[in-house]
Amino acid sequence: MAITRQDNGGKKSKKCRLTIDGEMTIYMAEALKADLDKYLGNSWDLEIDLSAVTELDTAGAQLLLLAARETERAERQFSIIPPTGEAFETIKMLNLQQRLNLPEAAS
Amino acid sequence: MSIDEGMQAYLQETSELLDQTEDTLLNLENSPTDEGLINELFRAVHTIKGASGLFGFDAVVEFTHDAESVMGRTREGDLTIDSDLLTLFLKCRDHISTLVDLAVAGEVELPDETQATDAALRTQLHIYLGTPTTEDVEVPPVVAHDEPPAAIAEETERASGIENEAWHISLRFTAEILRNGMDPLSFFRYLDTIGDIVHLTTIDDNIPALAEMNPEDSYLGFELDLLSPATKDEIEEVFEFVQEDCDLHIIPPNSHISLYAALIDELPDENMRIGEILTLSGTLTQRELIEALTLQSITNAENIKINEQNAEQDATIETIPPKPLGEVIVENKLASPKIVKAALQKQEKVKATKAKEQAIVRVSAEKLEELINLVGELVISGANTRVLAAHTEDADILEAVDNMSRLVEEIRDNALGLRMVQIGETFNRYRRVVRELSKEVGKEIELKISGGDTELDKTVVEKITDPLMHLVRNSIDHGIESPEERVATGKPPVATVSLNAYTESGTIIIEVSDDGGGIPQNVILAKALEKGLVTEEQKLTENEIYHLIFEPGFSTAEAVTNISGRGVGMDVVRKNIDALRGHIDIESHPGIGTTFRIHLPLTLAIIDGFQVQVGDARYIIPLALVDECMELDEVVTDQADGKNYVNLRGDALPYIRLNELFGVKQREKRGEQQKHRDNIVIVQSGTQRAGLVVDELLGEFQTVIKPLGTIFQNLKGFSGATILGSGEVAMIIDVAGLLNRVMSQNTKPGHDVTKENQSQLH
Repeated sequence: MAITRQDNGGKKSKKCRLTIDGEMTIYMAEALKADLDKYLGNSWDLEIDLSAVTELDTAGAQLLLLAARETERAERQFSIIPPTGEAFETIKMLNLQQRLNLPEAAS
Repeated sequence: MSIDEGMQAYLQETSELLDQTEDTLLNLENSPTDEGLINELFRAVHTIKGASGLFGFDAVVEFTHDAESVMGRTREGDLTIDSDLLTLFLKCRDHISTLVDLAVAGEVELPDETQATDAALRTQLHIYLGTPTTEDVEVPPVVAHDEPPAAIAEETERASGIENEAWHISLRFTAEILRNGMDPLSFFRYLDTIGDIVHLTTIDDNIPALAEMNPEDSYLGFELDLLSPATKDEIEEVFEFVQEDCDLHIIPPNSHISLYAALIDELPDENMRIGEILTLSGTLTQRELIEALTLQSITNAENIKINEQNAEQDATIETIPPKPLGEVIVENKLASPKIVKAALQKQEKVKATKAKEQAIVRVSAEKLEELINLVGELVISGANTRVLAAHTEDADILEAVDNMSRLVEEIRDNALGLRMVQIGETFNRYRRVVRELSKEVGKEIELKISGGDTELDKTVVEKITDPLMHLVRNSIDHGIESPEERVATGKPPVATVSLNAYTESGTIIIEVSDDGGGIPQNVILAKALEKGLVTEEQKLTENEIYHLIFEPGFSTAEAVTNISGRGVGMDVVRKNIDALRGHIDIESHPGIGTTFRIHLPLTLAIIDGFQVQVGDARYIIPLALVDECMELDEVVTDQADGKNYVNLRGDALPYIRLNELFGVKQREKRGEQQKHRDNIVIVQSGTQRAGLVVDELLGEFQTVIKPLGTIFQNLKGFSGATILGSGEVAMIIDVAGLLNRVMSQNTKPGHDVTKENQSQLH
């Protein structure tokens, strides 16, 4: 797991991109939350890249929902680069595509 | 688990399920509308299908699928179970059994015969499937939830329930669920296998603010709609593991709107939010939702009103809490309190059997056999240690050895106990036999089973199955009269065959009795004379006459039927029982009935023995058969007419001197000139009692029975041998055999006194 930050610069479109890789599960939840704490609520748009996530469970999904809500509360854009395979199945199973602003085509 | 082991487990599981299926079917005959039984039947066959699918046994899967479909229709009440359908199901059960055996044997191509049965049965099954009944329309077919509900305006329709065909499941987990290692996802994945999740909404409203959120707590709730033929029980079972950790609401398809009202009320979330989810997911229509919310506010308003009134009247009366779901169901007359109670009891029962199942560990028979062999060796070596320790005369060692012996004894009992099985299962097998045979011979027969919980060594049970089968067949064919005859003699037309088992002084007794005409002594005697089995001069006792039926080739049935009468069978019965060191008694009363009583030893491996000395050799008498021991001169000996009788507290008791019988010299007491005193061991076998005179009593001894070799197989009077602690071999006395011999010697005709004495003993 790693969260990397990408600052596109420019005042208008301050966008933070977090890349999460590996497991996004209950075992990692504590660490992921600690990282999210740093980047949430800083009035930037947030894009989370999940394409390298191999496993996603309910705890992981819950964190994504938290991130989405916090970003929207700050009136910023929240988006996701969806994971593939099993991790994506989780999102589908929990019916979160819409909630996480996934592009229609992905669902 | 290797493939072979997996296959073994599969075979065992299916055969158990098939046995269960048979039981269920036979029970259904008596109560064809029992839903519990119908469910049981369906589940058993369904499980067989599932397990077979796991191994890719397509032939089994395809056939069970058809059978299951028809059973499914009975479960839904579309079909009523009658005798024809039961017969078909029984045939299907047999066919599944054949298919399973073939599949396990690796036969891919079905033999022609099986193929024909398969086709024939399937045609019959399809007849049941192909006739739609009027109720059929109501069975929820898999319909997409978004199909526009048609008759929405119909008031009557609404009263009976909402339009939705799906189960609505509402889940709220406790915060700990994730930390407890459970992931709600796994439940959804499972639900997806027993049905189709048409809609699922994840409710994330309860995730707290960033700073307060604990990433390992669960804050989510789920509302989902499931299209599934599963029952409510089955759906609830999915969540059984997390019962403590979740708040579960299940609303059946087409439920009354008030259930949803109650749900909305129950859930901690904002009412409108839940309502929104329910409409969004297509569970409820907008109009239904409004109705539900109104219904709910009315109830609440009533409560408030009552509370207010109460407050006015008496401030101490508790306020009425929001009603639990169950109450709402009852109040709205959705289900009577009786049904709710019954359902609860049933759930408890299911849980209880579950718990029981989990408490059983399967062990292969081979391992058990090995354990018992080892325990046998342990007993022998323990005896050896005991003998050696006795030589040392060291009190500490002796005490330690005593302790060890006690433990060895306990281990032995426990190890043997592992092999004990209840005979009930075996008894139940005969229900089918009785059902079919009675139909075949046109007699109405009821099978009564008692003592099914009597435990018996598994190896004994296996060997007793065939003899029992012969006896049951014999009773049905020869014992029971035709209904007309029965009525003519004032008996009820429905005859009874009973199977009973119980323990008595170290032996197991199995009874097969009927209330038929009894065994006609004169017919048997005439037949025996004709066959040359006996001569006219021979005077036979009642018991001896009855035992003639066990002679090879003996049958009195005038017509040879499929069932019995071919003269094979009864001699096999006796042979098998002899091989188990058991014996059989017959009690018969003309016009009243016959009882066959099989006496069997508890176990075949290790027994408690009583060691005695005769001459220079030692012998073992099974302790369970020993009544008492005493010195011979304490009792009055009466040898007046050359017979050996002792007067035991007023009763005449026959006795045998073992040294005379075995032809060994009485042992001289070393160095002692005093008169030798004999001991008598009084033994009892069944109703017979007798004394065995021995030189010396040596006490209890744990005896590991070693079978006699083939050379000694015809040796009368011994049932086996054992190895003593000193390494010597001791013979085990076959008490029943010996007693029979003594009795027949003593009851030769011409001795009226003898007969009198004997009747006293009985």
